[in-house]
Amino acid sequence: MKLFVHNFMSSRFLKNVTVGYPLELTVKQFVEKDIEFDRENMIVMLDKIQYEALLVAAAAVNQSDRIPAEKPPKWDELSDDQLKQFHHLLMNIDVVDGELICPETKTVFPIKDGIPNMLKVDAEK
Amino acid sequence: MPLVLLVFSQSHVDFRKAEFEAICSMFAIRVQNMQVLNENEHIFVLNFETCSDVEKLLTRSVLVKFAISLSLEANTYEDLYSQIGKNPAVVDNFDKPDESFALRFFAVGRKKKLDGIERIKMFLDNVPFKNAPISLSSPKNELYLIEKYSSPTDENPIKIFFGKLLGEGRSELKTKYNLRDRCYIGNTTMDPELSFIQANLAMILPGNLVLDPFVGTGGLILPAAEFGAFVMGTEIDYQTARAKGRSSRQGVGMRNESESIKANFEQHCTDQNLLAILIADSSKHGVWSSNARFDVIVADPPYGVREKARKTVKNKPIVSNEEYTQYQQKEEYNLETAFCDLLNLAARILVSNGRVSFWYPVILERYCPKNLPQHPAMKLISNCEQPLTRKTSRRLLTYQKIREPMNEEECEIRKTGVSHYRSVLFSSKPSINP
Repeated sequence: MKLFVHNFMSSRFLKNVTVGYPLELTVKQFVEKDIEFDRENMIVMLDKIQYEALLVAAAAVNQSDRIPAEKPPKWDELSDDQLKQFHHLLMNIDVVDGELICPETKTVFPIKDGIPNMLKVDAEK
Repeated sequence: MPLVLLVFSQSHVDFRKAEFEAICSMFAIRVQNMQVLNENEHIFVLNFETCSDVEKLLTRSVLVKFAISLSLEANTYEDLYSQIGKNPAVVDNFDKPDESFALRFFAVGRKKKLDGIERIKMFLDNVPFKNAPISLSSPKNELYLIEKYSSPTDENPIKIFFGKLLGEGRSELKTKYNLRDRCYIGNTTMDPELSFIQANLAMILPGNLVLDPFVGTGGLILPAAEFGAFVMGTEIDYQTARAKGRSSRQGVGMRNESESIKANFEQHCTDQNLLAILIADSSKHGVWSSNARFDVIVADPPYGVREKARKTVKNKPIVSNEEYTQYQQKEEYNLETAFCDLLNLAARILVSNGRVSFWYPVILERYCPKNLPQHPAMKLISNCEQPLTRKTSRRLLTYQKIREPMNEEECEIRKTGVSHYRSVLFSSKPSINP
């Protein structure tokens, strides 16, 4: 699972969960691959992300220093080098082993072999 | 304005117009006489604005075999030769000492094999090329002589076309992605050609975010990745998502270690475009956060025939042993609910103007367009049929999101259509009209 995906996921489908976002993330193992950078695509992608959740994801892989603590006002004003830091976090990092955790119920969704399982048995209890 | 002759594949004719229109809107290609396209003929002369528009079309179309820049159109060979006699520049343009050429022959609409070499010889006897060297393997100008017949038994063609090849469509993709060589397949993996047609109808563009909520072994998002989109899929079945259990290939037994959805992408060097496969229940839309927005959704929801249609349920006892602790009990997923859920999901998580394209099973004698799922925020763009059996077919429905849905708006299916799909398919008795 690329780190980007964490930004789109919530645990709102669980009983008694109202927001369920952002999911807590622990990363036990991840790989970094070089994915081709495309400025236009990156900006379109960044327009869809929720910044606080991105900070959670960056912290989970100990790479918070790559990006500013505050959301940049305009994505298209960023230099290629700055955008590449976002690109690295969102696209290059692939989580292999870890956990997604509901922020309200603390339900754990394991990530194994890069595949998160959102159907955990005790999820609805 | 270049006149272009398009030669179409003779399969999936019901998808032809929809694919053509979708690619034209993808690249803002304008064709004045688009209405000439039909399902009975297979070659058409179309009025493009520029040659680069034709090239763009060819980068995507699976159903266009090739495109010819039309130089001449005649009713008989005599007519053709007399046109060349009056205007020799048409052929002289291709008869230059520094430009090699090849002449190829193609006939449409005739069953009996024709001797192409004879036709080419005859043409060259009448229209000699004096200067240009011949190169059959890599000609600079690849010229075509095309005959069109009105009936398979006719002796003489009704039209003869002559022109230069502009390029070929993407029919090679169905071979490149053939299922026999694919690492990991399931019981209902989509035919590769149709999966690429679907990617075109959904207007998948490079950089798009594409979701398949019933991803299975990934057959619908492989074409999306091939076209440069970033793809995600959810799958409710733990074994399918992890490529465990019995193989869908006959006589193979258990799936082996090397099989996985990811491996299918690695096979075509598009794994960098795979964002994630999630094990999740697509009927629970809350798995997606409120900021989640996809450009395209493609889906082939399970009809409950070769793959079970299921969603998760609460409070059922769980069988527990090592591998199976991951399972949550599933119940049968009513087909109509499944399609309504899908359209509701699309209305919520698509970007504005984003498309959803999915397969919809139909019992022929009960089909009427009113059966189709409708949603006030989604506009039906195309509806193409693939016949399956005597009693059934499936339709590829493509919708575009025209606005954000209001709070209470939900998908509706006006008349019961698909909910009895399984029972009708498996009954030997003639079914009763509703």
